[in-house]
Amino acid sequence: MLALIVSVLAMGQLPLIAPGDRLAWIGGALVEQEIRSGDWELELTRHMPGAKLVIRNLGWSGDTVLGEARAGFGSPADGFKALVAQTIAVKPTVIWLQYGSNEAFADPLDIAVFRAQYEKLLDALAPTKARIVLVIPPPIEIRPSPLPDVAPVNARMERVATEIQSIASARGLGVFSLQQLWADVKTPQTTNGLQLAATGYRNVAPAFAKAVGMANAPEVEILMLQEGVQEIRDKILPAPGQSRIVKVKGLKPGTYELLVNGKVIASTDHETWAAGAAMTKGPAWDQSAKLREAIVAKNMLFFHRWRPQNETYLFGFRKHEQGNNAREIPQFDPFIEKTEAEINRLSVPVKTTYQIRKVSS
Amino acid sequence: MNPLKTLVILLLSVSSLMAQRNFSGTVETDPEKERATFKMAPGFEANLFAADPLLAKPIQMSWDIKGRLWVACSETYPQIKPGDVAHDKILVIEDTNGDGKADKTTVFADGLLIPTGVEPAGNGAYVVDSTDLVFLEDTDGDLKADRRTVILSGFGTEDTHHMVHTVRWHFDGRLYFNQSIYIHTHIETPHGPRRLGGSGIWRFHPPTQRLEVVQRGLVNPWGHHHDRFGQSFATDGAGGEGINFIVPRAYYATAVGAKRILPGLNPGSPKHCGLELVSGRAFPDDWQGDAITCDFRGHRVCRFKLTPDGSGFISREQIEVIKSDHPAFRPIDVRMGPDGALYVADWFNPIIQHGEVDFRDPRRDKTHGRVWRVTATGRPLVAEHDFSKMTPAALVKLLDAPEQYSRHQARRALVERGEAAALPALEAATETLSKGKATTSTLDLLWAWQSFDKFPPQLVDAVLKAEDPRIRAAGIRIVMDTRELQNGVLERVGALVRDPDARVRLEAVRALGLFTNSPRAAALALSARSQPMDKWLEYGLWLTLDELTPTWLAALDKGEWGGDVAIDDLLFALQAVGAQGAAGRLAGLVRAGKVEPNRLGDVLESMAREGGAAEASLTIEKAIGSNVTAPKLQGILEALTRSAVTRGVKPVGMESNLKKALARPEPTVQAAALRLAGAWKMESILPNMVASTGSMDRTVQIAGIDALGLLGSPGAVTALVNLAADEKAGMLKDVLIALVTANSEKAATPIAAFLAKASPEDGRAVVDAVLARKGASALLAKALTGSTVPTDTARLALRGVTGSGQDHGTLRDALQSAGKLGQARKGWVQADKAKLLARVAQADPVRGEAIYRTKQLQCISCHAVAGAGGLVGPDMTSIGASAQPDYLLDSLLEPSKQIKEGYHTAIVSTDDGKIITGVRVRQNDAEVLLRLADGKEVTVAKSRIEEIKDGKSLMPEALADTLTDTELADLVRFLSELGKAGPYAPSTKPLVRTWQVLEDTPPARAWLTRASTATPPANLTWIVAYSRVSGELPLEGLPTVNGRVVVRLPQAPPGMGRAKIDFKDAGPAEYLANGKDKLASGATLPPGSLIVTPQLPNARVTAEWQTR
Repeated sequence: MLALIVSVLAMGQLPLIAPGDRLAWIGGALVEQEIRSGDWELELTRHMPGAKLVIRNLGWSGDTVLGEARAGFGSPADGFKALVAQTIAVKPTVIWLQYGSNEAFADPLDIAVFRAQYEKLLDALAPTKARIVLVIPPPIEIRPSPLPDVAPVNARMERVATEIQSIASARGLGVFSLQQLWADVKTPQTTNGLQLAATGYRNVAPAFAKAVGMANAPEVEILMLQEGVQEIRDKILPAPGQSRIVKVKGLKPGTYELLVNGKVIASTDHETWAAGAAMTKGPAWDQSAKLREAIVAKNMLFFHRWRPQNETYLFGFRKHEQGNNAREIPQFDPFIEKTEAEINRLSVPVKTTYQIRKVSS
Repeated sequence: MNPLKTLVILLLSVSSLMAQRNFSGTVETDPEKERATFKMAPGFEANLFAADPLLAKPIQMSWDIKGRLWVACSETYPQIKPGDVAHDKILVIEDTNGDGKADKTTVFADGLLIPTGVEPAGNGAYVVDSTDLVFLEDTDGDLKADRRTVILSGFGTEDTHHMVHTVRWHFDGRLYFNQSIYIHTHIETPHGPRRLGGSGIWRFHPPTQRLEVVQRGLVNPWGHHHDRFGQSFATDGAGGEGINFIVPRAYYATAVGAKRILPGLNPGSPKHCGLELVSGRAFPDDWQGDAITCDFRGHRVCRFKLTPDGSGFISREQIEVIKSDHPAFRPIDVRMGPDGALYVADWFNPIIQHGEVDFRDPRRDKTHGRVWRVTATGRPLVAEHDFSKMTPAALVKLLDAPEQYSRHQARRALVERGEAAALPALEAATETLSKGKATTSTLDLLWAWQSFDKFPPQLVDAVLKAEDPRIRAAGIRIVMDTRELQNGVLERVGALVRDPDARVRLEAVRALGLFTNSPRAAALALSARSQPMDKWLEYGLWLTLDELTPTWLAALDKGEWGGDVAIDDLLFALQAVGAQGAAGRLAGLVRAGKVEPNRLGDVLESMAREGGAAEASLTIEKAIGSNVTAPKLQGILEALTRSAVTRGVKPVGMESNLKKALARPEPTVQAAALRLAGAWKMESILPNMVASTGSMDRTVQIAGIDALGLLGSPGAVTALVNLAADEKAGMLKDVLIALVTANSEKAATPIAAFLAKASPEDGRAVVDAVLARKGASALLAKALTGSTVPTDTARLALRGVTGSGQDHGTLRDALQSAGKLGQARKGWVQADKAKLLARVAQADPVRGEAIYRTKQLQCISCHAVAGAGGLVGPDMTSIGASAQPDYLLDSLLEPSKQIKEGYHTAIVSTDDGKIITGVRVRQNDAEVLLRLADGKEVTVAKSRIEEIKDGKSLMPEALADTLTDTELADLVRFLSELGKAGPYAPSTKPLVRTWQVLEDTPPARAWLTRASTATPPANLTWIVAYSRVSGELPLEGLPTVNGRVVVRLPQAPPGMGRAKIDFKDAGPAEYLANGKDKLASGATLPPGSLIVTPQLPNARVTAEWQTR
């Protein structure tokens, strides 16, 4: 069953992500900030229940394909070394590279330089033997004045996208595009064109899932044929707010309530049940919410692990003073592993009992 | 001999913070008992506004438009524990019944990770949450955040007390926030990525998302605020220069990539956190505009008076607002409140940071915190307003209220009300105000408009033409936000560069730096030189030219710029910028004969300093061929030598010119020419060098030896080896130093032989030269095998070795063995330390201070107290207020164990075999500036650097060996008293602490005999002397000339001033400057020289400095 959900490239190339993968996801703010919402990771995880995915978000605001944001006290070259070392350290089996938006602000944009830098990173990551997937970043979301006109930047983003596509083709690498990220949402999802607003990651999660080939199934229909108890196991967990239709045919006239695991979820008449009633809460949603919470918790633990505060004292040039405290940092690992096991467990839908009970005639 | 050159250096690397690690004893947590320790400024009182359990560990506080106090708190600091979930809070504290005491606390937000800043806005607050600046909102009115929006992300977290802090709306409607020295920030904005490594102040405009850096540098800029006229000031929690006047986009100490920096206004001041400027009727008139900040180490809330001085300011410390000896009273933020009182956040902790104190030290307080409320006794408070409930018209009326608090909240409330509601009210006021002359009300109104990014032309006109220059200056800063919207801003601002007021000129000059595509802006900026300049203007103009360099330099090269710029201004621009290629352009002007003779010397010196080989050729040709003065010629030759040594600049040929210089009659010129010949590797001058070593003139003789060392050829080495064998008295030291520079191998044996007889000072000088050469110390160690060195010589040489910041283990062992020093005195096991520490309480701080000042240790030559003394190690002003004796002792015994931030050494190896060890003062793309153990600063070109390694402390190890236990106990006692309430507390008086004392030389004797000449001639030698902590300068031990001590008052304090002099047991004193006035104690006089006939042994002089 898993294999059906695993997304693959259109042309039958290597999968973007597969069961058992350790994903290193590198890029700028859009990648980094996903850790607190967990919504995109939830899409990956719920579409691949029990797949034991290990997802390591290594996004860093302001980053470029040269690792500019990771230089710390060092030179720009140190930033690149850090980017490569951080990626290797998570032992990835697959790497998603999401770069190009910060570069596109350069005017004029020297696309040959961009390509050379991009290829330099690909070469440096080759020793990981991981599958490398290139992610085409979304355009800057267009927002009204007084925010700046980003049309020129987006024109350069197009150029960047073409170049990434070309690199992927030349090297036979997987690629997916987030260019349609804003296409299906009406209200602005960002505060400034770049930074997603409070529920932004959730709102564009369907577009993200689509981009990685995990098209959200339309509302699942649950068919119950009669009054009584039925055991149901979902194929995948619902996304938050995603509705499911429960249809119950052949009920005698009257009002019926639906109990899921013994708890009343909905109550309506036989005609509505026959036509199908939308359900947006219940144990599956609770589990999905718990799954997202676990993902966020894991992400925060991992953030403290790979990008701890007080770097200067723990590992930097003042480690001779407080470097003894660096021993605490690997102590995050067991917590991460424990949370990861929890994520895997929560990603698998459990059997649920559905019961239709007559309330009144 | 100048004793300063042979000082034995005592560097105390203890920080005032690390020493808290061993804080012992129980802390009194009762707020009333804490309050009882407060010594208040006369006429003031403090009451407890809020305390634990209402709040714990406050970091920043800020009021909202309803008069509620928002406080960012962190119990997680300094580091989250594995498995813990961040749980830090934003609290909203209210005094609902107006009795001056908080009675309600609401947890607005929880789950934050060390929130270092909070500033209310709308239905929530901007909060710094580690890497992110977030806006937390309450969307349902329960005063609890239910929506989190990330506004900016990518702030660095390399140090949790450096993270973004001091978040504050300013008058211009922009959100300002600061980051500290270790932070590296990378932010994505719709205007492109913004990056800042190191300290700086950010300016952010949420509606447009514009984010810019308005200042770089300072160590921990933990306070920032504007005065009544929008001028900006900052404090520094780890730098020691008090209040800093912030010139737009200027660089300050530690700024990454800085070429030049501006100093603070109170050099030698303790470190400060927070900043508020007093405003409002609840405080007395003479407090208005005074800066209030917190000396959290010294348990003081401090007050500084800011006075205009040219384009800048003078800052003078006043009596403290609060002074305490409670070990946990840690004031860290100050704000004027809605009732006109001053509120002080007290972090309440015996331990104040984590760089030097273990993250998990159990004595860190995690549960307490206070807010104190300071009021003037008996003075009425001001009426409080709920700005959220006022009409826009009423708010506009309060825009120029007497209280800055009200002006601020009225503006904020208008912004929160939105354009539709606010603009009609602003328009009405604009109609009225634009009719009269511009006043502060006009300015306040324009600031309100600026918050909406709107700029009514009639208000802008009025403000730029205001009679009050401070309003004009503020107007320039405002109008710069319109430069992309309005034409003509360049010319309008450009015209103000020639304003009669210096501050307006500075503001205009700095504004022009923003026109980065306009060569015209550079020309306009230079026109500032037609008016008097001062240090701020000089710096400001330099920075503007630097910012605009690519534009005007390119235009100059195309022949499209400079036609209307006076040649003198053009030279200033080229010299000031010092850009790559500036020297070449100067050379072009020299070749074209466009440089006036009286400027030629300066121009040539610039070319020598900045240029390459071609400029060096032209420089020496013109310098020899023209009639520049001898001192200038000497300067030029020395600059060429430095360029040769540090940057490898060596022209071809030039022998004939050098020979002409050698033929000059002045020994100083000959000496400089000899060294240059050595640096330029001119073998043909070798005979002159050898001949010079026999000169009767010592300057020339030493220069000949140095030149041989620099030349370093086989011939030169042979000459030096011969000289070394010759053992001419007085020269051997210099010969050996030159020899080790030229060839360390041949030098090792003669140096070992020399050390066997050398005086301690000479031995030290030679060993220092050995330490500066790669591989030389091991060679010397080998040569010392089996030889004997006088104990004192070995001991002093060892100080050089252990204070080099490098590892020279073999030489250390060899010197110990040759000097029969044995191993360092005992192991200093815990029991020994405990025994010694037991004596500290009974030890004598007076004797301790004398030891601190002895020639033998010379702690003061590296560690200033209140700014008097060296800058090599941390200032000790308030060390005792937070440091426990055992940590002071530890730092004396093991200097490298804990090193204060900013005092880590770098060991720089250059491509010509040199090793330079020092504290990195600053560095940019081209060079590194190091401060050496003797306080000198050395610039090293990055192109010459092979390697930079981290070094140890510059403080010599094993200093305690030279002290008896009693002396050591006295020294620790003295240090532990520094900053505590009592005779060693930091003084708020403007005392003269650094003096110049006349050395006993023949010209000095002659001058004093010829009593008619009051002005000291230039050939006198003055040495530096420092006052005691009390401010007294003891005359004992100072050089006497004809039986008298001549002290000179420094020119150092900013601005002109007068000193009130007091003598104690000093006998008659005379004042030399306006003739021979006999002076009585308490006399007042301007800077000059003072002759004191001391009645030793106890004579002292104290001077209090007053500016204007």
